[in-house]
Amino acid sequence: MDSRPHNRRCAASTRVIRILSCERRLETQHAGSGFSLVDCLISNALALALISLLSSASADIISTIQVAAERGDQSLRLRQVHRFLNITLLTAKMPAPWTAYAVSPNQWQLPSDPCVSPAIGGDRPQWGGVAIIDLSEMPCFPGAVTGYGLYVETVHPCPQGCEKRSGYRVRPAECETEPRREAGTRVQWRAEWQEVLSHPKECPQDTPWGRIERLLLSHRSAADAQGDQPELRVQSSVGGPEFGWTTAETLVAGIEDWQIRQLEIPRAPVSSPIGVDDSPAVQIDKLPRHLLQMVISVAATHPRQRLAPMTSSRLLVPTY
Amino acid sequence: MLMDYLIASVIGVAGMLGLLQLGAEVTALHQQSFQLSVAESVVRELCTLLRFVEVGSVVSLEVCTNPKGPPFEDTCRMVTDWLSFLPEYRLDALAEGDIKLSWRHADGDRLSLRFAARPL
Repeated sequence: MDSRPHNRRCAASTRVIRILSCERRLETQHAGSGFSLVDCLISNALALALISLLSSASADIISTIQVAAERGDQSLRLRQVHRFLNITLLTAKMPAPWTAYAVSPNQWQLPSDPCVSPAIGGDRPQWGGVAIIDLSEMPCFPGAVTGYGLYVETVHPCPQGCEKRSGYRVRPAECETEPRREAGTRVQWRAEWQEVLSHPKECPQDTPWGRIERLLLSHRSAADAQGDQPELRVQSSVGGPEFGWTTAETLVAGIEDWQIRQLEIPRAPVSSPIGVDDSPAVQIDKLPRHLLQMVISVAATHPRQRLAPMTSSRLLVPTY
Repeated sequence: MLMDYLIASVIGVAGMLGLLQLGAEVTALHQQSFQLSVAESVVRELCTLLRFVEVGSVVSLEVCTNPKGPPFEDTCRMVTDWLSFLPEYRLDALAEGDIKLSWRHADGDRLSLRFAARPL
């Protein structure tokens, strides 16, 4: 008898048993692996503790970052105002080589009338200057502008930055005379409107000439802003056949308060305290000075920070 | 499996700590920039005061406490308020007539700013 079929059946049944036993082993292993409920609870508790720890640390850091960002923003806005003033006030006078008579270094030179066109204002010994003006008394400014404004008349030497543009050209009224004369004479300077600024043809080639610009800084308070941010605004004069002023544009937003005033500084040397080295390198003023003082207060942009406004005071000293 | 979980947690926590460190660095940078801006403004105003009063009175801030001195209330208020933003600040008059303002930064280093007073 051939026993091979029987052997084959036996081998097959043995294989089936082996497979079944393997499956059982696997089932047994699966049943014993993975996390128990206690493991899960512990790991969850650990995870929650870590997350809460990190959240509290993050909240502190985020709050610090927000405060720092807010402070940085406030100081940035103040810097913008000061930078604008630095550039503008630097040109609030005629260049020194143009004038034989420098203005007294103790006060700002007074500019010409802001409501009168430079072209019809007549000849002047000097152009440029800075003044505080009461806006309610100035009918030439468009819009409901009130309070005080800082009016700056600037003189820019040409031909640098004067090509292919219109503006009020300023030149010596009498070209044949030397602008810088010996003491005792005064050169008059004349302003006239030009569609395209150019060197005065009737004058010698080396005659100095420039252009005049006028700017007005004013403040719009939160009450006047009607929901908008309080802001520092700038207006400039528009030339041409009809002289006037542009409507106010935002210079820097978020300026909560703005005060501009004239300050008279008497001669007041203060004795130095004992032990402090006084250097004679810097000469101290001996005469009273008429300065301008500007106080600006910048509010926080995000009210939830509840940061106090940053207030900056700036003494505007004539640098003639 | 527990090891896998622990490794993943460590990586996550390390990432979060890295982010916090980055945030702290950004804050320090902000702070430094702000302090420099404050110091620049303070020294600029003090240098302006040098035109009217002696340097000793300025660096000791006596100009702000002297009732007989010039009326610099707003300037003094700003200077004293803003100097509080600069930890351990110190004002010095240098031999050349300049003013040096130094303060301690958050990382422990001392930063300083020196301004030349412009003669009249």
